[in-house]
Amino acid sequence: MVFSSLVFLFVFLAIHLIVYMLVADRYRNVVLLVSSLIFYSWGGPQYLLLLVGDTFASWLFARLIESSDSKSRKRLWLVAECVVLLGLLGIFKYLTWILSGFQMVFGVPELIPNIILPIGISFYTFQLISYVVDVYRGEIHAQPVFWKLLLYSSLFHQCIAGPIVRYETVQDEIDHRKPSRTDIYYGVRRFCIGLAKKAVLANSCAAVADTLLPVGDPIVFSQVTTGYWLGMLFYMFQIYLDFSAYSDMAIGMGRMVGFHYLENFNYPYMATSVQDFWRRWHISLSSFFRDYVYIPLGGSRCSTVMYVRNIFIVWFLTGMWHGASWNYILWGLYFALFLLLEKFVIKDRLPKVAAHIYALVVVYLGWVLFHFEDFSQMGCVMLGVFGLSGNGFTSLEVHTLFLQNIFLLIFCVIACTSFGKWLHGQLFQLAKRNNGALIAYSVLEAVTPAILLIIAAIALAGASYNPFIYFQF
Amino acid sequence: MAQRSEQRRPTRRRAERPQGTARANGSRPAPAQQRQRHDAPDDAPRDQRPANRPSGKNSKARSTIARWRSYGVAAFGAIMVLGCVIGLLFFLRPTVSTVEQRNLTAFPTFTPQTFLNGSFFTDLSLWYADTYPLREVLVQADHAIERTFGIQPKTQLVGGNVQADSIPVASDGSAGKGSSEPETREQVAPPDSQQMQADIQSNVMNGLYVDGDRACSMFYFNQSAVDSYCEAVSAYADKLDGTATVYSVLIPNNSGALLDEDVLASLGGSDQRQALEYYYSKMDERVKVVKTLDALREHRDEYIYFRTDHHWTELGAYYAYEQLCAKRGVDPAPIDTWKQDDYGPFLGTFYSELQLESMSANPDNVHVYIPTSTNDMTYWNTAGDEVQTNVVLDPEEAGYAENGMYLCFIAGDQPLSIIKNPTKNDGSACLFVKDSYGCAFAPLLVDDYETVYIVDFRSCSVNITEYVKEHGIQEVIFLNNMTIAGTEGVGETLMQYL
Repeated sequence: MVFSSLVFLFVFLAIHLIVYMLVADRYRNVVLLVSSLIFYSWGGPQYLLLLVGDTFASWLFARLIESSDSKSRKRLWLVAECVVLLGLLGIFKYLTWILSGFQMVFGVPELIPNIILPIGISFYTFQLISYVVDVYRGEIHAQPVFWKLLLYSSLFHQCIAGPIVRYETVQDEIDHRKPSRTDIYYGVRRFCIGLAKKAVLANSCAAVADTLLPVGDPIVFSQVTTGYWLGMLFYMFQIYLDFSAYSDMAIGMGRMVGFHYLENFNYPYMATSVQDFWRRWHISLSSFFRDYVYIPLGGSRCSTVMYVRNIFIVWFLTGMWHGASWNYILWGLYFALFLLLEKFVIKDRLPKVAAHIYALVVVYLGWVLFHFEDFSQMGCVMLGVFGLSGNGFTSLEVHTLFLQNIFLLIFCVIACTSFGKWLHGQLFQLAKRNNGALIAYSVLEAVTPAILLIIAAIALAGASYNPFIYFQF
Repeated sequence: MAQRSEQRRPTRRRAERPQGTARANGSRPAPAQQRQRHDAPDDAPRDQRPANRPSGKNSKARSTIARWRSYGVAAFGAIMVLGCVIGLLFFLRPTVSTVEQRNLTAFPTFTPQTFLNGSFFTDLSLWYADTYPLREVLVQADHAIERTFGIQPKTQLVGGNVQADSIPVASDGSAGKGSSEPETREQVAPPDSQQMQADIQSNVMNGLYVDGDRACSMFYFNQSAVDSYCEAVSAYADKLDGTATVYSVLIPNNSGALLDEDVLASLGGSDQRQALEYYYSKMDERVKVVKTLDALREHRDEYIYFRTDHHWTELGAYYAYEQLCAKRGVDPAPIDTWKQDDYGPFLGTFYSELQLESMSANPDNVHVYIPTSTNDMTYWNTAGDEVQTNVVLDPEEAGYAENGMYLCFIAGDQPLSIIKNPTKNDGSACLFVKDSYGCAFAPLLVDDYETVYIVDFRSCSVNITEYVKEHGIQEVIFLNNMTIAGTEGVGETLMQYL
């Protein structure tokens, strides 16, 4: 099930929240767990087994680590955890890709199994690994009750689209959480912001991007220069708005019931360098790689050669995490190069405006690598962005789409900045001083979630509009 | 991300959390009472809030805001409950969308297999959204929201980045060259009807040039599809040789018939004149080709195509009909003396697709000419039921919606229709094999034959050659729009009835 669907909103979430509110405190975790398992099984129950199995292995290994006396024994169980979880991730996510690569180079194997990627596997695998490693490091205690760990790994708020929540973030809140009225309000508002962001902004951006540059369609090769620009620009907005909307909804739903998940995005398109961008983009993933790969490898407190090696390893893995295809790895390594460039050449010498433009251009071109798994399409779009496609500069189609979406574009630009947050803060300050402003602010606070929810529901219903001309004539 | 991280290693994780995100999520959540005071404008970390106790005024402000926020939560809850309850009103769920002219998604069938492979619940989600009771209102609201996304320029091109095949030049630019070795082409199985209709729809709607309140559909040449269509028509001429005469009438898109040559050339579609010549060159010499492009262009200032729909008007069909009559060597029916009527307002397929206000502000009007010899016809629908109706039927009488006005001609696309002309008794008969452009054309044939048999090639239920022989039909007229004829699978579908 996806958050941005009417069935999620008006069936699953509505019923879940009602039941959650009605039951006694001690049953609330059971309600959360059962809801999460239903949510996860919606697209086919077979992979539930994998989720439960991964969780069971992690629960067991964490318990074994905690009860082991010797360091070597602890390490053994940690290795076992990594082998089991990364092995399963490797089989389900990367095996088909690896075998296809082998087949292309060596001609074997003849048959490649078609393995379907279980939904959310990349997210919950990382959550569980972080949990066991943290137990190993003695930073947290192992969860004695299996189903509570299953609740952590399967929680529908974040199980399939992140953020990657660390166990330490929620360990106390699993058993002791009491959302305040403010928590509930913030949760509701954040969820509605996320839903509207996804249903209205991200989906509309996707429609424009897919019209101009439909992945896999030969028309990608015949687009005009402005079409490549506009198509990739809308894709750039789509991917941020879409992904951050999922995080907003996860954080919001968590907050409504008393969980305080970490922020996953911090206005990444306001970054002034690639390094800055990765501090603001998918924070839960980059901090995972920082804490569990980069620092254990030695980080930057080592020779330059080792440092460069560490950077490349981390960014190779970061790219690979995003998908089983070379373009994602290329995308990761592309950022590694710019990070090294910033570290050794650029340093902090760019003026702020130039630095901001530089970061946006690097990120924008990075999305070309990310968006097209097919290298011929990727190459064509990359040339096209630089006006080298040979298909002409502009067309009436691009002109039409640009004008038809010009206010959407402006709104998306604003939505990617902290302007809204700043304005909200200003209003709040004003409300503290002035009675009229207080009423206006309060009413705005009250109607914002409802309006956003209604707009999102309208957009979700509107997405099913699909006129079929030949039904009758 | 990584470089700054390990410098503060011992306490790294907590210390390095991005500003503004840390404390609220720390491993030791603050007690609930502490959180209740937390009403800063956003999720500002607790440690950034002023430490001093709020003044009286601030406290009042805080309680006002808190009160309104609880109204906000209540409103959220109310909408969720309302949305949930409305969703449960199964008896209110629509099954057909008149606006979109399609059947809505049906409730999925539950089997252990559909449960296990996840398709049951996926289809259930689809069904839930597609038949949500308030759906049509919400869809209209969504269009209104989308209209605020930008400006609708007066001239637009929607879609249109299509890679068309280049059109091979016909050797002498004329028809009658004969099909080039049809046996060398691989026979492809006909597509299922649903898929073909979807392909046709996407071809018709791909590349719409909008000028004010009128949309014109572009044409994109697909050589293999055109070849297989021509082979099919040629195969009928071959098989019916000596039994019936085969006519082929190809209708240009409205862009080819209406637009200035220079505008048309600037839009990047395939040249329709060249494409038609290619069609003709591929037809067997026994196919009598009826050229319509020049006749239509001659009258392009008249109301020969709708503005909000991809079809032509009966007047446009009449100018093509004149060309058919010239080919047949007969005089066209004097439609000026026929009874005429106007039906409307009509907002057609282009409007369904584009939802332009310029169109809804100036809808089309369906001007009809009703044949004098008879206005009665019989058709058999897809279920095989026999239905008596009129050749030209008042949409108001039939209860057609604003977007269904074109159905006034021969009750739309039916598998088989028969019109008997009581004023004629000479055994003359034609079989009219058509797509939806044929609907506006069919009434014009009524006076000319004792019997007009009509089949729609997409839902035809008879073997055409056998039917022609069985009913002593002398003329078989294939009439198709050039985009529809040039869609993959159409030629193969026609071959099925050979």
